[in-house]
Amino acid sequence: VVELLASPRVFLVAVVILGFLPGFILRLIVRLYPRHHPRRDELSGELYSLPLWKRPFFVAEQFETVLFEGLPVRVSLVGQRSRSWLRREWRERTATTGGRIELVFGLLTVALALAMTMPIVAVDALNGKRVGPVVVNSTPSRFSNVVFLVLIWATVVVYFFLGRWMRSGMNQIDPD
Amino acid sequence: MADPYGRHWGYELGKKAGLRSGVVYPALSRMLEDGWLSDGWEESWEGDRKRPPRRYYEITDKGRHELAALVATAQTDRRFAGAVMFRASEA
Repeated sequence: VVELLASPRVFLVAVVILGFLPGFILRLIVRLYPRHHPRRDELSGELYSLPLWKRPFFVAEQFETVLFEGLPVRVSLVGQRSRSWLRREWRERTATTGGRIELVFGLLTVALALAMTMPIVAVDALNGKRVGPVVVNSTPSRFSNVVFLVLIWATVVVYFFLGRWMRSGMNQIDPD
Repeated sequence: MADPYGRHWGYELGKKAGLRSGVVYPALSRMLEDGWLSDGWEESWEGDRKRPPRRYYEITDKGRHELAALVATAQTDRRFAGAVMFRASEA
């Protein structure tokens, strides 16, 4: 045992497992809690009050805590934020005729992008395979497909931010 | 129950009660929300300065009343009679 402990490799592994990994992993997993949730600091405080040999077991136990307490809090927070964002966007975009037109064109752009994406992805996935009597042969390469899809979705994103930017510009114009 | 006026740490409570952290921490949160417990953070001079402060829990007056009522109920409930007597003889 003394020889084993004297081995530099065993010493290094012990340092990593007992000294570094528990704190590192705990700090990673508590990030599932929202930013100012007290459990983040509480679990760190509890970890460092324990003897070294107990820390890996403590961290392993906290996976359950984080999964069953932190994850639902995080999911509900993301849900709340998404709902309030959607409500705000909807209010802003439907407040004026211009906004409503923008919204309709935006939805059409997304629909068009989806309609173009799906066949490209499907043909790419089936390339070289037999579907009934036909062997699918996609002429464009996977690279050109990806470039094309990136361009399509970049257009949607640009449309979205362009609308926001133009609306913020319009809001700054003094009506008088 | 053994020390209703003292400060308690979450992990320590779990060990004493024989419960996993995944059960203890959510239960503590619910008791905090219900006003049975109050919480706070260690001052830097209270413990080892090399580690971050721990969060402690104290039972509030409301918590002590609720706890006493709970123990009384458990003592009359035949399902817990053995457990309560066992804990009492331990203490």
